[in-house]
Amino acid sequence: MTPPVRNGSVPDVIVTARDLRKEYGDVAAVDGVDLDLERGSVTALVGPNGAGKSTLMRLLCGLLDADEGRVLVDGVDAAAEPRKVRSLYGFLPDVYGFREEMTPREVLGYFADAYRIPAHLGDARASELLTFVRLDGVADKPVGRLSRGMRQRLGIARALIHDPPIVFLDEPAAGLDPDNRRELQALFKSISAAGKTLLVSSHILTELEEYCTHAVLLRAGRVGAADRLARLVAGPLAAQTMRLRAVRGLEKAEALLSRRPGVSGLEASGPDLRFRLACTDEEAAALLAELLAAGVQVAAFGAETRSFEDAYRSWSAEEAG
Amino acid sequence: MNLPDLRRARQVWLTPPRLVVGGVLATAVGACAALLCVGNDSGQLLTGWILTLQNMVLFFYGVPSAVNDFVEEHQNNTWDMLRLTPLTAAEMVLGRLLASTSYAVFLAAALAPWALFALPLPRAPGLLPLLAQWAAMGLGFAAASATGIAAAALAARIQAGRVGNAGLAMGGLGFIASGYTQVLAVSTGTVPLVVGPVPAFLYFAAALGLWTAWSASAAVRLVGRLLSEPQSRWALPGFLATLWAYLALWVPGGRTAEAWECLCITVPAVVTLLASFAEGEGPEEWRTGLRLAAKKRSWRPLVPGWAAPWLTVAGLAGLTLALRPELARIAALVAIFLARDLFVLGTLRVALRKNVEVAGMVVLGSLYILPVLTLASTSNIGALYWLVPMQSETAGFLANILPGALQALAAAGLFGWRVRTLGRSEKLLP
Repeated sequence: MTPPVRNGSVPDVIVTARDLRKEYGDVAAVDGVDLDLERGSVTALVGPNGAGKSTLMRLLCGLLDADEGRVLVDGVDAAAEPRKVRSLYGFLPDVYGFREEMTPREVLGYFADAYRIPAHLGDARASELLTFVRLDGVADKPVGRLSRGMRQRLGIARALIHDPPIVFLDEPAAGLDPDNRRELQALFKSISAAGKTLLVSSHILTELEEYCTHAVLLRAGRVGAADRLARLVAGPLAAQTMRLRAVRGLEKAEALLSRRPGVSGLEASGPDLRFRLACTDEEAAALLAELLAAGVQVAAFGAETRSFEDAYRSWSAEEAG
Repeated sequence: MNLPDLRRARQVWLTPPRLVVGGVLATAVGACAALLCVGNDSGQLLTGWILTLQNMVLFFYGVPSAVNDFVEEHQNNTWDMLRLTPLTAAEMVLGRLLASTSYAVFLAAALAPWALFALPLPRAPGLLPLLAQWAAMGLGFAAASATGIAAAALAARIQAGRVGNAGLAMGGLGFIASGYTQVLAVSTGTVPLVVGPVPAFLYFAAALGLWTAWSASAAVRLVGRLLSEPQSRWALPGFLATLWAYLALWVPGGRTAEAWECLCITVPAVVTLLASFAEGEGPEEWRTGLRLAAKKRSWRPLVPGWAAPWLTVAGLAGLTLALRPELARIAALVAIFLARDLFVLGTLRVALRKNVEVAGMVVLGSLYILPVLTLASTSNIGALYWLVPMQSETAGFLANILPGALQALAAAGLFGWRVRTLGRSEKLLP
């Protein structure tokens, strides 16, 4: 994904992948992915099951070796310095098992040790994170007695123990009830507010829309679309349902639109006309000028508001079709 | 070295109550052994007992613990989490190994004072041979544990299965190989090499050291880099087959016969390991596979998993029969009893939903121990599954191979009947 350059500013990219490929036997799990993650962004990684989301995450953070391609993390080549690159990541995998007999405090202490954090600092960091993920009340209870939501939050605390600049979350909301999911959302917003770069894979698009700034749509190991979330949701006009409201000349507009190439699904709805428009932004502007020139008094002309889920469905249908 | 697993081991395994109980138990067992060894050979006897107990603790408790722990960590995704840390692969493997075997090592160490206590007693082996035996024990323990971890890493990549008794099998292999070397510590024999005669113990300890280095490097490589990569089903059999290259080092030492014998005896250990991995998927998946196979009247889905260990046994039996016919009986014996045990375990897995391992230990334990308690005490023909060659070929055949074959056939029949019943009676999963 190359985020659009706005007002001449160059996006500050922290993770760059180029032509990334990974095959399992005859199946290409990741097939020529180009991707840029902007520093401080929260990127939703979405796609159907088997699209290659988990494999892509594991390739990016160096847990899998790519067959081809290159990953740069904060300017460091992942193939040349894998350990340095890996330590820049916090990762919450889809399976986040812990030893059931250990307590959350012990789990965090263990990983603080692994990251060579001195014991006194590690203990302080563990306490701070346990408060952050609201597990301070159960810090000394065995993990086996924690609920799924609590374990998930412990997994997030574990991912943050070494204060990494990048955090990957693989299906963090899977199997959680709405209350727990809301708590997770709040946590992600806090993590993002701390300036960290997040990549979140999930199927719950309505929730991703709440806190993600960018999105990557993956299908069969390839990036189908990638951009700022707002732009993806708004979408190119080519894929949009448009609504035209006219004070006068609605019949003229209907006749004009019915003859116009790229317009389909035209239907009248009270004072409005709804139609699908397949054209560029410039052509849409030309169409509006044409309507006005034909004497149609346009009160409103624009794309219907849609959600990320609508955008995903629309994209998915186009890909399948 | 940064070994965070050791801190965890202190929290989970090396707690004061466990240390006190283990220490008291080891001291009491050593005291019982000392009381049983009163007599002219008390030094030799007591040292032998203590070394045997230490070997048992390390190889049959420590090694399985390491392998099981490793697989559990793999399933929990802990290895991937650790791979994101600055820990090196060597630190990860060593830390886990030390942590999961720390209690076994503590128990073995708690027995050590009794071996030192035996030194002034009549016919004691002396301090240097004792230290040499402990060194060989440590080498064998490290080799078996590292091989178990490397093999489990390969198996986990292949099918992410559970280990079952695979760790125990690897412990058996290490026990036998290390035991052979330990025995040589009190021998004055030499091995004629190009550079001149070398003490036999040194030569075989060096061979054991090579195995240790090879298996440790394999474990580090697999855990550090390749753990998540997909792998051919034959990688594990291939990896374990190269293990026997270690035994080839016995041939220049003039121990060809022992090498063959050790090969025959260790094969079932490795085969059991393979079979455990082959059957390593969860019970429900395993049952579903069996039901589908029974419904389709096709065993092909099960063939690759089962073929690897059985082809190994068949190949070895054929090779032994051709080259060392006098040892073919051992290969036949272990193959027969292995078949019986696998069919019994298979039947239990189909029949029971819980505590299959416990039931397996009780049933198989009874099958081995009851003849020892009955036949062996009333006759001199040896008990069932007595691996050492019988004094009388006929007695050995009658006491071991024939009953073993009948039991294996019965177990196979029971297993087949239970699977067919399962295929008819239970609704197949979609």
